[in-house]
Amino acid sequence: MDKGRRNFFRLLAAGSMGAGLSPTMAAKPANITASEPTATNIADALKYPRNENSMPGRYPGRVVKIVDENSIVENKIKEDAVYEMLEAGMTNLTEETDISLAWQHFVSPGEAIGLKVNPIGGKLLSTSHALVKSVISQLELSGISKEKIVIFDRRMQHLLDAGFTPDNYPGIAILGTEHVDENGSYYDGSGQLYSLSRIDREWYYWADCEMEYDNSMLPFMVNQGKYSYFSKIVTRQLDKIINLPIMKNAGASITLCLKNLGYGVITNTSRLHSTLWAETSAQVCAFPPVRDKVVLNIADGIKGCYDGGPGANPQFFTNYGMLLLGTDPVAVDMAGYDIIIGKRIEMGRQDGFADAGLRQMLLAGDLGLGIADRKRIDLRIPGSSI
Amino acid sequence: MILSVAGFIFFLFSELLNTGDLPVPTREDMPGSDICREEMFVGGALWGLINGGADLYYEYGFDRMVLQEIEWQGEEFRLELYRMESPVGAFGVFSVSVQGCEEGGPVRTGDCLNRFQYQLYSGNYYLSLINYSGSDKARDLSVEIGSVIASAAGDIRVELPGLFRQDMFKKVIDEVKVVKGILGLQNALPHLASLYEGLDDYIVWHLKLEEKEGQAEILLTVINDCRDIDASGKLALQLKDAGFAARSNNDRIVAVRSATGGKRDNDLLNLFLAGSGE
Repeated sequence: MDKGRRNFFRLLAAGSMGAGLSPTMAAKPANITASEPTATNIADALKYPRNENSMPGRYPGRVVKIVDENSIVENKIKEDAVYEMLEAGMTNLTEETDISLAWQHFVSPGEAIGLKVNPIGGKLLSTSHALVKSVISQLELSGISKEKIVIFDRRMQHLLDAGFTPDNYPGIAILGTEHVDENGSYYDGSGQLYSLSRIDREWYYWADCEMEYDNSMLPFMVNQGKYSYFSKIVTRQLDKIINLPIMKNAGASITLCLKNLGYGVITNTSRLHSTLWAETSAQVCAFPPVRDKVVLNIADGIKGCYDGGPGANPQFFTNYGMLLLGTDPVAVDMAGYDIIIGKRIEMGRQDGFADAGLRQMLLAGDLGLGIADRKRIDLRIPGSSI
Repeated sequence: MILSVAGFIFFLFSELLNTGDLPVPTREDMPGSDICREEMFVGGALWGLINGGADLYYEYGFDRMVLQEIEWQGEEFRLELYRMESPVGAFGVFSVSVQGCEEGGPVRTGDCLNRFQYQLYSGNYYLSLINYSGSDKARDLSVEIGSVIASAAGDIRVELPGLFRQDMFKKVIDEVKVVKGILGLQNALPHLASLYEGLDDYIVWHLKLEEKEGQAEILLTVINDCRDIDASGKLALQLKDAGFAARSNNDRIVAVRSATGGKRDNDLLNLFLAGSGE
């Protein structure tokens, strides 16, 4: 019996395939039940007073686009090139000449800094290590010690699969709300999901829709019902968050800054996809643990995709060769939308820009999280006459 | 007692084998290879692997998927073999997932190979085989692995509606796309998505045609949504408002839109319907 087979049966026993043993466990998710229009508790979020860090942050509407076509060669991302792109973007965004001063606009020594990556595409298409390592290097230059830096996402297994491991990031904490132990189990010795101790029941996104999850799905949803709880990583462990999404499409829309946060920091998300996809991306960002902590967005477009997202389908990968930076997640998303959807149109995946794809940005703009009006977006492309 | 325990273990093992009875390759099929990871995802577990990306598969009727990570001759592969609830579901996923295929199909007609991926469908199965390097060697090995699966899964084609089986579509038959819900529409036919808002259970068969004057498209919608007895009539009206020539008959709507529009659309609609059985 080869190693692969042994793994197979170990995993069977561990549960993911074990679902096949029970017809009830193997049942697909039940249909969504929702009233129209779907109510949420967004009004609660808006009651909290804003502070100087609240979205859209220090530079509303400002987006810096740094392009280097040589940042990826033969499918290999060049870390030194990405480092320079990041440096150029940060100094341009902040109008500082010194890179450490540029970072000090957003972070201070002693603060716990979270890097919200997108690892769903595994080794194929996740936030690049070149960008994450460059961010860490520049944070250190600005006086942030490694011990205060956390790489996080909702799912630990995704982080590990994408290479966000202690070996690759010595001294950096790597955390997933949906924790999995070294045996591949999502449950602790008492049969409780690890994730239940990692969610903050004081902070929740309530929406009047729910979905029944089978046992194979529950570890990835954490809870059922009408409440989606925020991760303690966001509410309690971090002082500031740097959002590092990757430039991907989601159908005829995008999954970028807002989506990486909206669906990346709460539980019980599957129920929200069908009826509240755009609302969730926007509204979750309006809650203080996100709105007041995410101080910077750096969209990784060195390698991205224009179709097949949010999955990772290589035939639709493309080397955008760029970073988009801004404190305003809505403006960055608007700039990213034009690039990603433009690529879809160029490649014949859709005929033209469809307004429906803008919905999450327009909603977020209405919530005061940033600028969605293209005329008010200050898109800076260093080295370009545009 | 010992026998009954042994019997139970055998029963359990058999159940597991049956559950895992998908035509995935083994090391014997790929001499010298290492299957570094092999895992099956059933029901909602696909969400654990690819989050919201799973929704598209659920929309098409997902049953289970085997994931293999393979190392072979210095190349790395990620194999995902999906078993869908129906051949239409498997074909549907395939139809909206392929682009830039080399002509002819490397293993058989109707599969798809490009630099980083080999895809095929057969019956209820849809295969995605990704290589990480994009090299010629990885391409050749992909074809070898694909051949193993194609051989084991058979060559079971989906039965297209009569409308698309006409001789006039023979050359473009592999371009037919099938959509079963809003995510498929958003992915493959976003320009049509708003027309189907409010509908719950339907299948759209869609084909783009290249004409001298530009592109034309033909679509057949089959509505199973029994909440609204006049859903097909309403959809036909919406399609007409969107510039299509459309005709509905019970739960089926056929619509055509050409670059020229107007009379040309009606002529095409009549032409397509004449030999279609619709």
